[in-house]
Amino acid sequence: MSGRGRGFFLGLAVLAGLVVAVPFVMPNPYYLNVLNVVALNAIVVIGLNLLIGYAGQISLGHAAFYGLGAYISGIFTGSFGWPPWPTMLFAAVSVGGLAALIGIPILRLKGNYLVMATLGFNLIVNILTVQLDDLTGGPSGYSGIPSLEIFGWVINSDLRFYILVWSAALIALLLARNLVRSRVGRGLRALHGSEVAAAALGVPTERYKVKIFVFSAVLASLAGSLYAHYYGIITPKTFDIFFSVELVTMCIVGGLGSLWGGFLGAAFLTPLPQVLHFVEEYKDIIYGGILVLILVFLPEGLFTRLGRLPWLAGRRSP
Amino acid sequence: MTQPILALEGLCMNFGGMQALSEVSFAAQAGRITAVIGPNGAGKTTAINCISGIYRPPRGEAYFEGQSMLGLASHQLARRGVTRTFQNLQVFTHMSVLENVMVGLHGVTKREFLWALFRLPGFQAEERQVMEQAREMLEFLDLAEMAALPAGQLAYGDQKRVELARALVSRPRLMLLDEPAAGLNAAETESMARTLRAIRDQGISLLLIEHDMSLVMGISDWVVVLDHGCKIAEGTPAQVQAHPEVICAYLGGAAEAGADA
Repeated sequence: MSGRGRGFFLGLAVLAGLVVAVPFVMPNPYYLNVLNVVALNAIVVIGLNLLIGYAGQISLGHAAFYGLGAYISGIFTGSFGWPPWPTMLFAAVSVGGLAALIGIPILRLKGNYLVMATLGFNLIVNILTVQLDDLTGGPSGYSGIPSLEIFGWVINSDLRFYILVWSAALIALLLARNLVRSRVGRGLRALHGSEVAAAALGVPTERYKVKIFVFSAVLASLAGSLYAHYYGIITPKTFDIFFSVELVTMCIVGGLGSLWGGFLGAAFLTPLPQVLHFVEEYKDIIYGGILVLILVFLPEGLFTRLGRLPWLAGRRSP
Repeated sequence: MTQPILALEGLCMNFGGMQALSEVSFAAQAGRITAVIGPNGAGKTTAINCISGIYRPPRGEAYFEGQSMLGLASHQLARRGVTRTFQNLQVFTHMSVLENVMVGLHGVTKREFLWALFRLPGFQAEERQVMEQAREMLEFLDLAEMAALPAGQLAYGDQKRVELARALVSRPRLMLLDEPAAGLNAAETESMARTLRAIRDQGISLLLIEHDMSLVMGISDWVVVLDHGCKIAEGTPAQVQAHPEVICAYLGGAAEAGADA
């Protein structure tokens, strides 16, 4: 294994160490709650970064995939009594199928049609969650979602969910890294660089774009399901297009095409609403301002600075 | 006669009202260097784009080893052993030189998403082999020292060699080269000519489009001349150089004598 390959695992070990240490250092449930949301967002952003940063396709609909995962898990376990874990899988498969339905026609086109299609999709999903109030509870939300349970161990506290969601986030990071450092990852980055050249070398560009879109949607759906079981209540507002924009912002702030950047972006932007609660109505402006500043001064994202540290430079490895 | 590696039959292509190719037919023999030449706008790049799956010609046929190749997508052609380079460089600038060349093996390897995600059996062996073959190719084209550099940082001539390495690493049976010497200086062109001959001598058939006459005449086994979308001549370099229509197309209608200079 190359030196850079070891760098990734060292980074992963450091992150895992931090994750284990945090509950001992600050057992305050409020902080754990913030970190839980960081991990949920990080899972979505890892997938989204594969799509945007590696394959070069932009989606403004990942809040909808996140929301669909949450609502499918919530409604089927809450109203119909389905068991949570299989339902989560069912949600992921359904959302993946929906993403394929959107992606197959749209990703044949050159240019950023995916942005428009996913934006429209997000609006539709959002309207449906508000309007189908018999099923979804409408604007006030859907509640009564049961907690998850692993062999009788009920995940009903911030600490327990912390253990679950951070394990999931670290696994997602590892899987994404496996994908990036492979023939598939090279194919995705190649089609980002030049679709005709990638195709001429044997990369099935359309199929790859659809597959990575579906993969990122599935990750978002899984995170959404976890979210639903964690809070027990979900509302349409959580999954509106502004959240999609926030997710893309996290990708860009952290660093497109760097998996660690996804974590950093999520870690940096998730707590911001809490920190800035005194100027809440200006939240979107502040997000926009951060995005502009990053694009102007650090177009490769925050992680590029940290990425110069040799042991962290596991991204874009040869 | 043995079966040609590539045969075009009555190929036509038009963009709107503009006839870019009309009824072009020629054949390229296996193990040879075939050049397609012609003045600007003659339809050379259009021809290569038609047979590499980028355009779909409305009429005519193209056969690769006797089998119809029109209608196949670029990536399918690559799997069958047809690769190409581009006139305006299409190097993956943000990837390393080594990674660029590794992408060249995409068509001849097969481990997909699930294998990559979960490192299923067979994945690592394939990765190692890809890495090894790519490194060998870098050695062959004098790029080994630049393996880890982002390809976009290389000098123009080196980037051209990266494109060549990328198209060659899968050992295709036919390589389509769109102006391999464009933008190269005399010494680099000379070295490119040596490389192309070496590739041919390994049994790989080459179809090249070129402006540089010294390169074409020096290395080609067969030359096809296009002008305004029509084939006006074909033959050995010596035959083509002496062909009156070719002289006319290159030097203008007024040229009669002294064109053999």
